[in-house]
Amino acid sequence: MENYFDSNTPIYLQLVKLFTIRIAGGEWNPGDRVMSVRDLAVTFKVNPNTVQRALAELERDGLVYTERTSGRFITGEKEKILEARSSLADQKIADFVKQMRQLGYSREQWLALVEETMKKENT
Amino acid sequence: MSIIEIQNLNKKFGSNAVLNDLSLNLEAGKIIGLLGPNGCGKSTLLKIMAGLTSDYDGKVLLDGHSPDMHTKAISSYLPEKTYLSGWMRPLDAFDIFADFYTDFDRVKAIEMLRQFRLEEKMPTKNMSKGMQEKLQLILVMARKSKIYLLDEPMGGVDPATRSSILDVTLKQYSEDALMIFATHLIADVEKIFDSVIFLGFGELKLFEEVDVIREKYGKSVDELFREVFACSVSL
Amino acid sequence: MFSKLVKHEFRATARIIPFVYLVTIFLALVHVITAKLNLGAVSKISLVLMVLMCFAQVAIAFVLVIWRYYKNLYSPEGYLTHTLPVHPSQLLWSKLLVGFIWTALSYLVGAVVFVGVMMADFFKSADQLAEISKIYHAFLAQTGLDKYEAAMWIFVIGMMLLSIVLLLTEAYFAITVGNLSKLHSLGIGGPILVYFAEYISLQIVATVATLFIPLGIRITSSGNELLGFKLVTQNMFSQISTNFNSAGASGAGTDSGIIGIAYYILIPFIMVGLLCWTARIITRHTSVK
Repeated sequence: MENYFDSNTPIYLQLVKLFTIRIAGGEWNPGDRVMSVRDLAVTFKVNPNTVQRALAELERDGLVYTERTSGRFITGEKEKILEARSSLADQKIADFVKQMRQLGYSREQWLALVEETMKKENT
Repeated sequence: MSIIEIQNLNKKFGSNAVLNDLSLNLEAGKIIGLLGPNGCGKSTLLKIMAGLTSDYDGKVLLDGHSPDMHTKAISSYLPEKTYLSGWMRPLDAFDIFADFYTDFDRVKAIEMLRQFRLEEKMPTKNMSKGMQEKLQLILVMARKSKIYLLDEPMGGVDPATRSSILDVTLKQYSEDALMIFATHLIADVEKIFDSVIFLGFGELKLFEEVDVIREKYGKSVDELFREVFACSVSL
Repeated sequence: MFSKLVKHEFRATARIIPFVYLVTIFLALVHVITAKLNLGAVSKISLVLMVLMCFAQVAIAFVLVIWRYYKNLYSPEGYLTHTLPVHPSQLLWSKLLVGFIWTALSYLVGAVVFVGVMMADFFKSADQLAEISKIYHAFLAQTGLDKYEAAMWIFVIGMMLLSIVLLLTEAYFAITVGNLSKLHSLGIGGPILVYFAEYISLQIVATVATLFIPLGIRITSSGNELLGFKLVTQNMFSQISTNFNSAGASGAGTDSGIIGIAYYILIPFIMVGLLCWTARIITRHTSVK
């Protein structure tokens, strides 16, 4: 059972992030219907009301919309998705930089490390 | 609109106060965790709600009734103990439940039997403890009740089964129903709860939403529980 | 709901109790067949065992019935029984009905098997049957009961059935009261203690009612001949002291004694009272361990 969650932030916020990553990364395609609250709850092993709350947040952010008769869908607006993606990426980078600094690397050092690691990956 | 109302509930065993001036209002559409050290009143509280213990002081109302045949018809209780006779096979148990409970779904029960890989015609005396517990869980979850009272549904089963029990519980969720889940295995389970009740030696120590606890205390429910009860073991 | 309780009660108990009857019937068959085959020793042994079983099966059926009552209500099975959406008193009545039927059946099977084997063994001709009928009617005539033959049979069978219900009532009462939460710490000792207290109380009531309540049957006799009896409103104790005081007088003439029957009249009421009390306790003081 993969544990997606940390233990000290509200679960609904963590769900918002998880869902956003899936939307931004294309795992959940634009225009697709969102899985039912129950299915999401079972997949992530979280409370259905918490799922509902997270989806409401996503709706507020414009990543998801509800059609009264047919259900919830991922937005088709590519700009919104790209916006979310870059926002997540920014945060990831900021975290990365902070952690590398914590380890004692300077900017040149960790840039070089990244290049080296990418070269190894390509071969 | 509370589906369970408890006011000033007191219960003693001899001179020992097992439940001490407990008051609670619980709403439908929620999954509530009932947490506390062993022997602190969780099971007793559930037994009172299930109508198995009528010697108590105070008010306990389920859907507006004190525990009686009406509340038993709308609530599903899963005790820690095995209550099935040794000769009973799953089909026999289904016969009983189908006869007495109008909300029992036999088709769903048989489906769940297959899911859990239990045999329809094996008497419980030939089953392992884990299998018996799964069967009793099926009996509870195959009913579409308004109230589910689950006493340690995951005690004594392997992690894979725990996971399927959580799945079953989440699938059973309904906006019209209230599920009370008593457990001491908090870390695995806290994410499925809307709110949790901390019951410390019969007293209500805390009744709060899981996410509010995380926001307010910056800790998981499990971590807060360990602090509140200063116990070193919480599996 | 009541019929469902009865149905499931039968289902649960039919797995064991009828087999007790089968043992008796089996022994009867063994006896009759081995007799025909002239296997004398086996035939005799199986007859003895069969007769023992005819009596034993009543006791066994009774024990199984009260064991079922205890197990289904007060062992972990009670978690299922007490959460069924039925009025708790119906649990008592359904078990009483089914328990009564099994116990009464055990009497019936015992009687039928016994009579059947006797007839197969000893009464092989119609003449012998006629003999018995004559003896029976002579007895009735001598005791003056021939006018009341039907009533007598109803009374005897009724008393037997009533005694079954009374025994079950006493047992159920003891088990239920003995499992009240206050007595939980005594375990199995609870019901046993209550049963003793109940038994002693009933004996006291029986003695007092029989001796002192002025309702009895006066039996007059002269020597060994029964002269007659009639209902009187006089109490037994006073008759005994009268007889005692005149004990020195010589034997000629009629003797009379009174048998107090008030207790027998009281029994049905006591029984209903105990049953209602049991029902009340089950309803109001449920406490499954």
